Amino acid sequence: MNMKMILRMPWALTALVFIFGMTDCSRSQKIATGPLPEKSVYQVSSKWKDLSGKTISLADLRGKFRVLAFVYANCRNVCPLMVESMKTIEEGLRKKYGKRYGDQLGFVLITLDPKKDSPDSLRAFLDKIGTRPDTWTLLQGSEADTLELATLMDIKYRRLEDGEIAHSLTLTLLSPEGEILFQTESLGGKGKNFLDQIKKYF
Amino acid sequence: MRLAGVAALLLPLAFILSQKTQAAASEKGVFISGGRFIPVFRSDNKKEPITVAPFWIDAYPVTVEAFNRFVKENPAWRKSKVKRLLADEGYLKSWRGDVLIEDDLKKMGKSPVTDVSWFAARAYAAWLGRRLPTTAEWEYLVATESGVETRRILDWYGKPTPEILPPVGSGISGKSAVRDLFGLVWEWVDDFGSDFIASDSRERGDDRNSRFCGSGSLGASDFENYAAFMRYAFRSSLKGSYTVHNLGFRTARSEE
Repeated sequence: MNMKMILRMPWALTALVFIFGMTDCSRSQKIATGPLPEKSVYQVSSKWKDLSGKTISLADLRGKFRVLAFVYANCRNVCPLMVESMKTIEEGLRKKYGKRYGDQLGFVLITLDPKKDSPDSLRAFLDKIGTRPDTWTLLQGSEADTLELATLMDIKYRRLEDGEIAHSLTLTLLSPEGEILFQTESLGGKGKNFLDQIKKYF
Repeated sequence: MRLAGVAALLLPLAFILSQKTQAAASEKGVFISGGRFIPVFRSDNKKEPITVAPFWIDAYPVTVEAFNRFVKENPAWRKSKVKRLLADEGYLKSWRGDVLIEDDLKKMGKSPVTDVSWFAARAYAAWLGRRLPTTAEWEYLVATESGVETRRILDWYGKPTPEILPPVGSGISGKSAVRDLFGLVWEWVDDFGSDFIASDSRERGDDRNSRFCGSGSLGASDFENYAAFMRYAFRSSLKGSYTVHNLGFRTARSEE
């Protein structure tokens, strides 16, 4: 059966979507149980929207290691560089562990400018950088919740009069339970330090 | 005769009414019309004024009594229940129990609540449909409303904090309706961590230089205003879960 035939049969398409949806679902459900550890940042009750418009809470990120950064779409200088480092980390993981690294680790970007950023501007931002959407999650919250999470992770930022946002360049490695394992501000070394940290846990 | 009788009846009523309006005024806070001002300290070293939009601010810091009502209604913020992530071990450390009883309140009910984390202060404000003031708003109050001599502020900064803080209203205040900005407690602001971020952290490189007091002070627009600089330094030394015995808060809201 080729793709064309599948497309002609709406039920087959539905079944496909269903099967893929289910595998993903069963995977996350298997893990997300029990109370979170005392230091988990996933304990906050805030709600976030991902690029597909789905509302999630941070506890939904349980089950995988996460490399997380705060960025915004209009940020021209450092954000692309931060994401560039994340991509270097991704490449390193892919080389060492193959595609299956994605079962254990995902990348998360949180917008610092939830009022101005839209799913479209964020998608365009990702496209420009050329990330692979399967292992990347992009989250948009309220301004107050964004500040709360940033504060929990010791990320500092400030809106400037010209509308730009000055912010920490921190990359964070979170445990599958949402505990901070490692943070770095350095964009040098092409993510190598960070990769070494991840390898400790893999 | 009759008139006097009516007057006698009306007087207490008028008294009650005025009491009520006063209470309403203090509940609502003080309206600040906002404007442009030059903050004493800016880490981006710019000298242009910044704009503060109109807002409402509490006349006094939040009291122990008021915070006690909050924890009664929000058990997650009780001493024994609070998440360590959101408040360190010192949270409400002078409280004898999860909820204060009449005896405790007699002693410290009117004191400003302290030993509360930023997360707790924010939760309290959100419970009332409000928020914490921003650094810009707080400093705007100091610049335009307080009219207190820097010397007196510095004297207070140098004094130890008593175990039970004096009641609100007994701080150092100028003519403004916003009281106790000094002399009682330091106060949380919503963006407490943002002061020491230099704008050039947008560029590639190491932004750690701007994190130290020495280089940070290069941004001070008035080298003599040591008091303000101390506030900025203090704020930026905090983390969201920290609790400090002389650190309280007041709530604000934007003008709709």
